[in-house]
Amino acid sequence: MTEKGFEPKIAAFVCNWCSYGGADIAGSKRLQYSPNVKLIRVMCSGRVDPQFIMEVLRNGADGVMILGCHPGDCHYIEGNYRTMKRHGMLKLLLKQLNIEEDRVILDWVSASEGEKFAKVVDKMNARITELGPLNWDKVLSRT
Amino acid sequence: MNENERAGIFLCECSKNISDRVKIEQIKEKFAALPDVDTVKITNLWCSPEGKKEMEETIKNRGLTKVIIGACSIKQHEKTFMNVLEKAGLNPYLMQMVNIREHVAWVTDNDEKATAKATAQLKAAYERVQHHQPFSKKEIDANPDVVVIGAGLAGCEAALNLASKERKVYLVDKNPSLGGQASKYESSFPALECCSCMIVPKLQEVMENPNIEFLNYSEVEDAVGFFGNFKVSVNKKAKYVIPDKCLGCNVCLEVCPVDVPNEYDDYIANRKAIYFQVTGATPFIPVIDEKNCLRFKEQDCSKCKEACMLDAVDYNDKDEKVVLDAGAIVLATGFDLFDPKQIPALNYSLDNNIYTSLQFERILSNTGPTNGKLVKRDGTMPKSLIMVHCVGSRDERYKNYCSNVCCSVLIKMSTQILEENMAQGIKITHIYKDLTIGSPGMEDMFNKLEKEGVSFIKVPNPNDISINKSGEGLAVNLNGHGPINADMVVLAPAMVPNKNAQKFIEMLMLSTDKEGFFTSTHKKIDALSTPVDGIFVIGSANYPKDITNAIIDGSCVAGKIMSQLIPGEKLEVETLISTIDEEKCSGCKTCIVVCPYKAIGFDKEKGISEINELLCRGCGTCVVACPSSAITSRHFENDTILAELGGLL
Amino acid sequence: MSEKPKIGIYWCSSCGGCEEAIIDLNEGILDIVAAVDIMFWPVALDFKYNDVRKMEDGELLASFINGAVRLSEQEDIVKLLRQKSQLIFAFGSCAHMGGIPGLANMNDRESIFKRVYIEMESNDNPDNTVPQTESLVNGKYKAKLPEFYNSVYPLDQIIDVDYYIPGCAPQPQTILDAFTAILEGKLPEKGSVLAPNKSLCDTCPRKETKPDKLTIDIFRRPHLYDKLDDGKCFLEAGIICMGPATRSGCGERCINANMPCRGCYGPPDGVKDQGLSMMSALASIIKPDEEKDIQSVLESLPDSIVPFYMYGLPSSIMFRRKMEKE
Repeated sequence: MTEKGFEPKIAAFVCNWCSYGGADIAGSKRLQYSPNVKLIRVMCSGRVDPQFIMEVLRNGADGVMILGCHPGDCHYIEGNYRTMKRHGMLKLLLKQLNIEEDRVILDWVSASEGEKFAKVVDKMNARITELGPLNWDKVLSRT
Repeated sequence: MNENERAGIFLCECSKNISDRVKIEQIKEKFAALPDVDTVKITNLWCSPEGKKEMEETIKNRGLTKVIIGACSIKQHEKTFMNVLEKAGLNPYLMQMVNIREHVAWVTDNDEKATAKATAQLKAAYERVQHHQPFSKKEIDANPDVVVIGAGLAGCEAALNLASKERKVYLVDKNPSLGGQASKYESSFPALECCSCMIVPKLQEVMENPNIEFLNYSEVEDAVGFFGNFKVSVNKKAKYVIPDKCLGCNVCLEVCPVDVPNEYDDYIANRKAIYFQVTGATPFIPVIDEKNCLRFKEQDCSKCKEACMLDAVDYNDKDEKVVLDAGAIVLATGFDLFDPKQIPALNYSLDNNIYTSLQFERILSNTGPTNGKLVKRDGTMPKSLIMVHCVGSRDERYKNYCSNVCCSVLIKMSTQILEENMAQGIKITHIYKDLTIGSPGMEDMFNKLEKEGVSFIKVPNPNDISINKSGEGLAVNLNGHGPINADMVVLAPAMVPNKNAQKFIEMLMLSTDKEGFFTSTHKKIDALSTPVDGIFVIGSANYPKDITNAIIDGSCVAGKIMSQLIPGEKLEVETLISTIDEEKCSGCKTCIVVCPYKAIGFDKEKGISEINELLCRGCGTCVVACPSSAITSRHFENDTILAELGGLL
Repeated sequence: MSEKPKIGIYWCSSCGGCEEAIIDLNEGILDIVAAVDIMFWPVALDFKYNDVRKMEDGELLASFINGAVRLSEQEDIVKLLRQKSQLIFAFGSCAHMGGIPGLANMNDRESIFKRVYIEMESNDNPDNTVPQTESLVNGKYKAKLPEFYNSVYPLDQIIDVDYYIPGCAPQPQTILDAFTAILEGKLPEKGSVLAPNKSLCDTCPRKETKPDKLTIDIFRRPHLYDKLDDGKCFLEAGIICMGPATRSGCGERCINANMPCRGCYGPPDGVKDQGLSMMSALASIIKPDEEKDIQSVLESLPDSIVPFYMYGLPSSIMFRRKMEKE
């Protein structure tokens, strides 16, 4: 159901220590990537509450990205493992709610991986463009 | 925003780096119209001295209560602008910096989209700062003293560097003497320098340093506290020999009727129940091992006391418990060797004349049981010797890492045998997978060995060979190659963490990597720190190290501690931590296991969890785990993040 | 005219358990009847909707509405009661959060009608008739039925609600406390849920058995677990107990009957979404760290809606399942 001219709304959580830095490097290298993906910084990907994700999906976002340090490299030792577990659990819920699980992705971008940052953002943007708008907020009229 | 809020928005052109792409004039217009926005200013470089001054004055003159800065990465200038706020008399946490350069202007060539993205990111900040609260820094009194656990070379080096008039160092070791594993070696690589000549002066320095207290033959039993204020409980075991009286004359050893396997000779020989760690140990004072001494087995023996001319033996000596106060703890607990018995095909056994590298060190050592003579168990000289590298190493079935040291050790021992002509005409063969000989001088040593006829046979995996008895000697089967015969085999097993250090994992709330070494804060950029502030891991407790690197670790950790724990100065603790609302916590305990810093404990009396403010680093993972919303992370409260998300989309 | 304050009681989509809860007050109900006049209670008393329409605005001190809103008739009457009442109390889990009927938000009207009226094995409906809002009976009488909505709504998504009395059904003490607060003028801030704000672990009889390091390596379903009565924290055994994310005040009746909490009292203040909070908590304490091992723990969880949203799907952030079409 790709819509013409559809520009997905995507929020990307970036952790302070790795992925925010990865985004910085992408900038320093002048890598071009989809400008419709907006960034929100948290100290650790482990601070990303599943409630935040559902809240943004419910309020107009078409996709959410969680970007953290690579497993084993978390600044807070194991925050990203918690994220991995919560993301796994959230995917089960998304499935039952009939929401494509690709709308919420978890990936690892280190503070040096500017290319990877640009790549995962573009990949997400392409996938969400393919999936089309989530349109969850207006799924059903009352009657 | 609340009444009386006056927000100021500072947009940076960054010398056109931003303004060439992002239409900041348009953004200025848009934000000026938002409620409670007092000021929107654009300048060329806010980070310049003029820019900072203008920002400071604007904050003061306009009475701003919240500040939003649209500029570059927080990694570049967040601290800069926090300082500006502080100078202007505004709490630095009442600011949000938005990166419209690296994250916006530089990553798209479309002006319109860049402007839209910058607007969204700034709107998110505008929504966010409405929830910002002021926070102040917290400082605690700190004890500059340090407890170093493990008196091997790494621990001794740390102690020597740390000890000063203003900083006492408690050096604790379960063994009677200093030096750790290195006290067993005859020589070191690559120069074959006499090990004891090299290290004994260092160990003497430790003994003589008035600011180092060496608690030998002592066990750490407990440790509580946090960076700046640890309490370490130590049991100083009874030694039954009065150090001030003993001269180390050896007479007592000669009369002792007990023989037990000597752990300091890696069990290739026996020792007495009253013994020295090694000949020439520092301090050179024996201890009585009460597990084996007849007196402590209800038998009537006082031979050592009778033999002692100085009345230095005291059977009434008692264990003494002490509590050490210190600001930091250094773990230098060293290594053990992988047990080759785990690979049955190697038939590892002394009776078979198969030794580990540490046992072989003792054979080659002048202070060892053979007085440095290279002989087999039957006392005859070997005519052929096989050295097997990588035993239990680099193999998923056993230890899947390289210990870095063993290849050099085997090459050093071969060189020592040949140079000192320890066994005329001996044929030495190395069986290896790859050679890891990165230390200076090792390549020359290896080349020389090859020239001198030492064979190096490369095999896919030394753990797949088998060793069997063959006549008087041994036959080593190399899977495919015919058997090679030898009189003696030396195995170089992987270096593994000291098993006695296991207790520190629980005691100090540390974790280990999958190989069992203590987990560092960061493997590369902060390898000696642990996730628990104030606890450091050095030497082979951290990862297998040679002497050079163990000593480097000791110096480095001293530097780290000296820069963080300054005598007379307070210690700043993390400001942006998480806190528990006592009114809401029901004590479900979900958060406790989640905390990577073990900062959360359970208050049994109140029946709720509590966060130790000094241990918390503010990662916020407990907030997400809390099912009843009783935990809040400062500056990243749920409402703050949700407001930011609301502005973003 | 009586001097006593007047109240109304109404039910929407509910099981009748909330009415039972009032009866369960036993002699307590006499105190209530002595203190107030019940002006409207379709289950128990013969008043008509028109009697309510005739009242002055605000004539009722309070109306207690149970059940979720699913039909147009329910929407009409609750709006009428809002107009006639000074205070509206959402009574019970369904009015509070959508309740068990709220699980129907996993479907829509069409799929529900299809299943109930057309596919149901016990039906005899050769013409595939489904409920219509208007139909002609015997060719001449116009019969009207309320409209069946696509979704189930908690009361506060339809009208402004002053207070919430939680529970499926509310426990007698919760009800009595609420009445006392009304009559003594000691009601808290508007919008409050009239039950303690700590979660159930606070008062759980099994609290002492909780290990300090709570981890989960498998999820178990209560009916397949034979040690429910061992008196130990259910979570330790991997049984999903909603207690940590659920307000206390229920008297721990489920726990005392060796069943885990299913969350009927709703989340404590500050928890936006009870189900997600609990899922996040449980996911956080999954023991293994390797991706495939995490996956195998998650695979032991048979369903992520019913265990977590037994009572609160419509009041959750999600509100409902996304349907295929607009």
